[in-house]
Amino acid sequence: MRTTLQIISWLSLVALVVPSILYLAGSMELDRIKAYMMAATVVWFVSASLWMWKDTGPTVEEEETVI
Amino acid sequence: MSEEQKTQQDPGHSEFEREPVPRRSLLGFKSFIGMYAGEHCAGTELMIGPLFVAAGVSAFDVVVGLIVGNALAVMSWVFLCAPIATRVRLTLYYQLEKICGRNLVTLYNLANGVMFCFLAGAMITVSATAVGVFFKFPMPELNDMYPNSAGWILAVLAVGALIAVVAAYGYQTVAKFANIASPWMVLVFLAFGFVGLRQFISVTGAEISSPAELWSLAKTTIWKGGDPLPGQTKFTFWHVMFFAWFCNMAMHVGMSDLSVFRFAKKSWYGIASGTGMYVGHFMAWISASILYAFQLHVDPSNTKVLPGPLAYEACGIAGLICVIIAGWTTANPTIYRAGLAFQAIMPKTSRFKVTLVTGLIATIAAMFPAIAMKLLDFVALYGMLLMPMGAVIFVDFWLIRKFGLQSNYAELSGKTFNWAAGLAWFLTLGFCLWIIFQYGQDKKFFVSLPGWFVAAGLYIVISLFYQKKIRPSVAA
Repeated sequence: MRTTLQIISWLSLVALVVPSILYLAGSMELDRIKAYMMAATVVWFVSASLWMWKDTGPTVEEEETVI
Repeated sequence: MSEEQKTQQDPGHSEFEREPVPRRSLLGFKSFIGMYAGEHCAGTELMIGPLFVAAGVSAFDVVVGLIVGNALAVMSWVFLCAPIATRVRLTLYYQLEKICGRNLVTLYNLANGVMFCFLAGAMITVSATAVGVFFKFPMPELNDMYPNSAGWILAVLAVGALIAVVAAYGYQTVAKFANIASPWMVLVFLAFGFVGLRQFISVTGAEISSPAELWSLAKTTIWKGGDPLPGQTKFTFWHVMFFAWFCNMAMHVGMSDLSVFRFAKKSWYGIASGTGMYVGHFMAWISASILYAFQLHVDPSNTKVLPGPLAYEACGIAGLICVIIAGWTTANPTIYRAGLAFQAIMPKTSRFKVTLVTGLIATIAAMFPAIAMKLLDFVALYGMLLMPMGAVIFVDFWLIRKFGLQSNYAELSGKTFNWAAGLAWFLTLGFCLWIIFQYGQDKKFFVSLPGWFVAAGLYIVISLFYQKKIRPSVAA
């Protein structure tokens, strides 16, 4: 289950960025990019939360504030 | 009360606050790569990139300046901060307390807390610009100092209150959410750049079939150089390079990241900061600046730097979510840390109340767009303010014993305020401010470099008199 979720979430990141690359190449319309990015965003936050939430505990970065 | 509940109530508590990190708790290189890549892709990147364009940068200045400046920042982590961190393995605050004494550290906390409040204010401003996309109220102009509409005030108030309450109640939950959001956020920033570049290509009708043609488009259309927009400081290669080097000065030269690299097995892990610099402070700044340059290209009279509308035009709702999350997930720990800094000064006040009040101060600051619109200047001053203490730590660790003096003098002498460190701090700030007022406001971007050497020299010279006077009693 965890592996499946990981695959889905990594694929959603691919789906997030590939449309903008296709747009850069002139192969896709901007409105479609926005729709694909929104869909990929939903899939990422749902799937990644299911396996990353337990993994992400307090880490060293809590010590600092960055710009 | 369970351990989890305790942690939730005291989320800032970390292990080994007053002892060296033991070998069993050290972290591998990978931990630092992920941390820096995610943490330096923050809401403020969406302001800094456009402000470079407003400052009239040329393509060479911004691209090469960022490459060189970020390399210098990485080297500062590798050669200044990480070697001390992996030898003493203490937090910045404990290390400072040993050198400076508790009262001087309290003063340092106050300075840090105030700067955190303003920084969090800028992050709330970024998130609030996303609200304006939906509610269509007038949003701040580039040179606005004060809030310009009731809608803006209400939007900032709503976003700021939400962030402050969440910071007071559930800091850890947001920290976890930020970790999940960070890979997604990095790719949305990348998409901003791709979309902006294509929009330039389409509008100009340029044919891009080689890197040379891309560079030509960048030089002639995106980062054209020339005069800055009215009210902005002109940025050259040197401004960009020093800004990229010093914008995290508090962390590397100023030694805040002692707290981070005390967990590193080797000092060369400092090189992991390169992921943050080249993802957040190169790619993200470049991407955000392309979006703003396109806005100016389409309508030169529209000089507003508003991350919300910029992101929405490029990537729709996903872009807007990115602006909100980028501002929120970075303002949250900033308010929390500012609260901790203030609570150290008023230990009897509850952390919840202090965090709420800190969030309120940050929210009020966010209503004034001058802070976000002058972010380049603010960040330079932030680094300058904390830099002298980094010089004190460096000298105290590596050099002071060569002069026959004691390191960790406050701890050895029992003093609560090491005047050698305190005067080195104050006099260096005086020197830096004198340079700025004497030679021009734009010197704030450079003055921290000579300032570091002044602080180091002053700490040694003042310690020669200060420690000498008290040394016999220390020896006794």
